Amino acid sequence: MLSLSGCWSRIEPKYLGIVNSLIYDVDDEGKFIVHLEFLNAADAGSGDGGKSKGSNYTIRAMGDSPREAIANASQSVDRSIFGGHYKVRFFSEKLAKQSVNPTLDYILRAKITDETTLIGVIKGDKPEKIYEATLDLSDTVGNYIETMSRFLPDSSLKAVFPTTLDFVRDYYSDGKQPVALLVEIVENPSQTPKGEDKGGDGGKGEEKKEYKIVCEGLAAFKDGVLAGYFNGEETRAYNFIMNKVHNIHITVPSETGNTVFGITGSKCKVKTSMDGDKIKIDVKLKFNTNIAAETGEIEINDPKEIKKLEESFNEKLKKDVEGAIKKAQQEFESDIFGFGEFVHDQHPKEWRDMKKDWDEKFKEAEISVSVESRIRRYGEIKRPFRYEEEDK
Amino acid sequence: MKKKPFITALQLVFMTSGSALVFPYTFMPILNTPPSNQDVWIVLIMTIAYMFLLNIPLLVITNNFRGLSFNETFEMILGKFFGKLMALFYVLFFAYCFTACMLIVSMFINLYLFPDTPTWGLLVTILIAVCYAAYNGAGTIGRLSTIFVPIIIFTIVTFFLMGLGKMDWGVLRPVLADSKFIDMNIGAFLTAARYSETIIFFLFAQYIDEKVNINKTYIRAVLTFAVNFMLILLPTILVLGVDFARIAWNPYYVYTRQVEALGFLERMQAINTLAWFPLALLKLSLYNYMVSHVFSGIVGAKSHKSFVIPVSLLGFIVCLIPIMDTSSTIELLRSDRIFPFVTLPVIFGLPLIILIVYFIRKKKIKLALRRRQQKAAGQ
Repeated sequence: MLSLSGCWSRIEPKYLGIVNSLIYDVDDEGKFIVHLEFLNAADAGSGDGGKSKGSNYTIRAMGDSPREAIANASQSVDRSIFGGHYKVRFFSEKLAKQSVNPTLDYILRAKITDETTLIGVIKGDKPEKIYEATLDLSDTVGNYIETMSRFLPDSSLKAVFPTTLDFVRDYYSDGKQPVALLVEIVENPSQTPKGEDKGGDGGKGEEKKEYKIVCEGLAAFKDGVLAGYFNGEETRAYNFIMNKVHNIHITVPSETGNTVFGITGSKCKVKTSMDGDKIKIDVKLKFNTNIAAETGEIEINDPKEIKKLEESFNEKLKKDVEGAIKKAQQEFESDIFGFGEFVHDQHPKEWRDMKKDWDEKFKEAEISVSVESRIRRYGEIKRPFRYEEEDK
Repeated sequence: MKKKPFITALQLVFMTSGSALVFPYTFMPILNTPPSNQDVWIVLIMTIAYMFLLNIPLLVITNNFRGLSFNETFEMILGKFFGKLMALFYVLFFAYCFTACMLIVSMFINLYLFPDTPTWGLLVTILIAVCYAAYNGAGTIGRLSTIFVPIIIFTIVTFFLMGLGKMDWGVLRPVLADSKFIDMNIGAFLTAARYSETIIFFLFAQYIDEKVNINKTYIRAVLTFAVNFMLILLPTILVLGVDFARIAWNPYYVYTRQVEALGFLERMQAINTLAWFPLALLKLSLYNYMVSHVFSGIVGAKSHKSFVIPVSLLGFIVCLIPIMDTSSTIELLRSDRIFPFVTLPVIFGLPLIILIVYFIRKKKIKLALRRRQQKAAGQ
């Protein structure tokens, strides 16, 4: 084994073009386009700790298939393209709307492309703009998204970070459709280019546009085709149903201000029942919350007020979750929540007949949502700060 | 008649369970046998019962002919001519297993590890090690098993524990709702029919101390195999999902690619490969030895050693025949359409015939056995 590793398949690291992220796109004539972001290993390992801008470079190539496009990319790279360290693979909106299946077939078939890589869709018709975006402390887009996937879910549930394996698993499931990370490239006019010399006019010339990457929402798929997008709040509702809840905060407006709830735990239970041909799905969400902030004048020590706050929290979340489910049912006609898996589990006999046209059944399913919450703690002060002040 | 007991019961347990673990570790055929769904783990439990059932004839023969070699046993029961003929069937079977295993191993290495390395390069490297172990004989193979098999068991347990956080136990639901009882039995039967390692037991039992209880050792070997198989199967389907696992060539390897821990332990599949490769070599050495050993018995050669290299060369040539070295041929060879039906006659059909003949000629055989023992004692 050791002797073979030094033989035919050997490539010295210095000859590897390590791809950090890539975009699969398609043009109007159906040709596949790939944008590869390479990690400059020499730069990344330099004294600046690998944080220097420009330690990555990107190239674009075309072909009749994703594999051919990547092979064609080799014509403009002086290294052997190495995909073993992909951090994220993106689909352009255009390709995702056609179908990601041919690309996934290549990804799963190829030796070097593994399933741990994050999978996402870039909104808009110029996906390559992502490589012009500000990357904050990261040096490559791949690292930027990967780092974000580690820490964002701890503070916000407004995005999803599925891996290729998650996507493929859901794709193969009869009762669930896959979702992907949604990335949007937006202009960032407030920032000026770092270290950019604006010429002799003292910076009065035409200002170069800055872009930033926004990871919010999700891309919903149906049979490998992009069905639509969820916005941040809908994605949060999706995460609640998926039981993917971390310590996040939700602001609920009240009569005198806003109450910020910190969610410390949640549980979603799904029960399904059959009423003739009609499928009924009950989604029960239970939350444990804390009061993280109160900007109004609510006396949070009062049990009645607490009850009111809980009710307004429940109402807000019920509305959010119902809205998300309705969108998936009516707009996407795609069961991204995996209710089909619950039907399969709870009514296996009936599932045999309905699994082939589950999307149709899901569209017509009667789905009810109920939310229960309990405020357990309200922080280290007993009254709103403002209330306390006026009392003096 | 008693030969030097240079194989311990533990070595035999490791040899048989290790050899049997190569296939689930490599391509997990149970995922594609009926019912091919989330109940596959129950099929595995049922498989154990079928394994015991199918292996009864061979176990009875093994128990009754302790101390006799493979060829001697057959010739004692069936007579010289039919005994040799029967042994020849087994030689062909061992040669088939040896070649099929070599093809599967080289394809796995080609697909997942060294895509640019030609098959002949892989086979030469494999065969050098295999020839060495097989040439040195049963003792060396037994000792190798005590090194390789504990390592593989350690990796199986480690991968299981490290993957716990990624496992979705909901994959196993609904339990027994989508499977027909008959399909589960067919699946269990076909999986059990693939387990040909009882022949290793039969062949190597002659090297074990006669005080060792063969049945207990056999049960230990089967349970070692079954528990480890379960620890391979469960995480694979719980992490990859049954449907994706079914279409992967090597689902367990794909599973180990997902394993990571503590934020820095990544690319753990390298450990899988490092453990798997020696185990595959162990299996190949076993089969090479068995072909050489039984064939030397048929032709009356003093030692198996002169057959080790020719057998390896034969396997090498067969593997390089263009039609053999294709994914579709390998898929056919390992599929439920071929493999269990090649194995079944050898592990059950022929031993059953031998057992029936044994019971018919029991008095004569017992007498011959006694004479042999007396002769051996006289010497």
